[in-house]
Amino acid sequence: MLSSYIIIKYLNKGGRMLTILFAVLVMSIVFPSVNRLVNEVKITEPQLQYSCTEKAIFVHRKMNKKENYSIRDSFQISKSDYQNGLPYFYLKTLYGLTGYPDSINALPFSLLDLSKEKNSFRMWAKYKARPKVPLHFLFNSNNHPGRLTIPNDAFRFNNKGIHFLNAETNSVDEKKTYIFMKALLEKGFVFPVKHATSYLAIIKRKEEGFFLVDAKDHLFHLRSYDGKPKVNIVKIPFGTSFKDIKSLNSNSVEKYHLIYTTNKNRLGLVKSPDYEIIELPDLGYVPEEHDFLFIEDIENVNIKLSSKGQVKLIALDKSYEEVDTYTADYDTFEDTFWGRLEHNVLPFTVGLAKYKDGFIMPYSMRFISWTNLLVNLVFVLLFLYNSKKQRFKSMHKTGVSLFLCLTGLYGYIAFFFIPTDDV
Amino acid sequence: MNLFYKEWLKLRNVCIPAFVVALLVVIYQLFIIKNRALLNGSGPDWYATFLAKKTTPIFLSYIPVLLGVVFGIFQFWPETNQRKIRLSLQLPMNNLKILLQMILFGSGCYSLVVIISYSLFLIGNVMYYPVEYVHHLFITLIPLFLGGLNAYVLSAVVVMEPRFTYKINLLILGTFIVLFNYYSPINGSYLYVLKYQPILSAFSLILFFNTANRLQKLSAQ
Repeated sequence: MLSSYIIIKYLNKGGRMLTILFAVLVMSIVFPSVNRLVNEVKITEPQLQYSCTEKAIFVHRKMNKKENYSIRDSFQISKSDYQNGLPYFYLKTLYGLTGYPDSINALPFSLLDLSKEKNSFRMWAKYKARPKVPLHFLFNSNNHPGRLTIPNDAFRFNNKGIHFLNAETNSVDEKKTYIFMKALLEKGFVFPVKHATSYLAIIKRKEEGFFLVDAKDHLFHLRSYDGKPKVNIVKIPFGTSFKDIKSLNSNSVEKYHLIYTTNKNRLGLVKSPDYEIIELPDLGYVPEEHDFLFIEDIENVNIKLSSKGQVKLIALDKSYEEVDTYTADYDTFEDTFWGRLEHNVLPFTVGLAKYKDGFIMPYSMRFISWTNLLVNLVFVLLFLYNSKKQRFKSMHKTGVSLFLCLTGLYGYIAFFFIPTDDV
Repeated sequence: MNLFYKEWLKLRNVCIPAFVVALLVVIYQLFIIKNRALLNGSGPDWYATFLAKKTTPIFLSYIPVLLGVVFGIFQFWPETNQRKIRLSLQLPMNNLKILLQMILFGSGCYSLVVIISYSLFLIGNVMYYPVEYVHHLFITLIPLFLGGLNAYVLSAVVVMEPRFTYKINLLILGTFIVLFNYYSPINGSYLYVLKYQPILSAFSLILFFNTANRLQKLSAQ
């Protein structure tokens, strides 16, 4: 009681300083947010694509309503050349006046082949452990395509096994739990589950169930056929340790089951339906930083890694060997006038949510730089010049100057608007 | 004890209606849940509830902050407007103890109303949903409760502040502190910052004591 009394009394005296500190923190969150809200212009990142006809990487940039087409940002090309160089992407241009050609690059061309081979999916950079309700739904894989019905139960994983919960009674379905547990254990599954993924949507061509990674980093495929489990083991290369797995969209071509990321940030694909493993070459992919885009056509695979201010394209051939790669930089908000002003005037900035998924995770967007220190000195001089004025008169000059050296504009505003009691 | 009775006399006019309103809101939300399960079926209702980025019901989110502000104003407006606090601080008791008792009583009343209504809401949810989801909901409701508590203390601070300019500054700062709890409406989005939330509440409390101290100093002049 005495200690709390002393603490309260002590904090009571330091209340003004704490108010100033909190005001600085609030300003470091609010000022950059307002700046971005008012002055941010839409910046489109450059489009990079590998041309199978020209054997080169095409770049399409859009700036201030002006479009620029080039090969590797070096040789300017026209819009029609750009579209002609990407025949599988610009099908209308390819059709032209005379209809579709019989062959491209000496390979026979048909729309049916293209529809079988054309495939794309993406993965967004995100904080992987964002809070989710740890309950899953297993659809019936025997349903007629397009007529999937939502199951009347959900399931959970715990350290010991899998539990099915009946939605009607809100209790564990012992029978179904036993059947599925038995099926998994018979195939050598070791609990707890490390990763679980499925493509969850009601409108899809086919239900492919769940992919599970067990405690020993083995990959399993679990499906339900009219309430009966079917478990398949996926043979993965020895020593693979999974960081993340993602089921792929079964609305597009059913060519791949899933994409996985290993602990060494290497990517791999599991092909459908025979579970063939394809290990992609080292792309320099970092899941927390890069947005990943995979585009496949008849001749090539384009993999695009986008991060802030940079896009990297890796072109692969159909045997997933690297053909060409190119990295293009582009201007972001930080390169605009208001961005540079923010960078120089505001000593540090704090963001509340790093990823645009609405989950709060405060992070430092930028910390104090040498330029900021110089700008902060201006505020120190301004304070010293005004120190004889009533508002700043009773303040401790050295202490406030040191504080302003670090906090600059934030500190000056805080001291100006939160004066001492003498004012 | 007499001090608590004095505070109760001020708060009873708002405490009982607030409890009734909070209870009605909870009952209304539970009826919505029941109707949704009946109309869509339990399975689809679970599917929509667990997998979508569900947001907290708007009434349930803003009830605590509204109650906090109302409690703060009702408890401290008469103190400053009718200069009762200056008399209170002249009592033969430790001033800090008086203030602590006042704020404890107010926050106790607020907590009682919100905790009872939130508990009823969670108990109602246990009937329809598994424990995992209710835990997720619990994590969602904690920042809202603390946001209301901050709103109570900060509105008391703003009401008690003797200087007008300072009052405006505190109002702006307090608004941002309370708004922090409403940055993201998605369920469970505050999981990683829950441990830092008491810092905001502690800061609000420090501001309260600081303001009361200044009020006392000015009244002594």
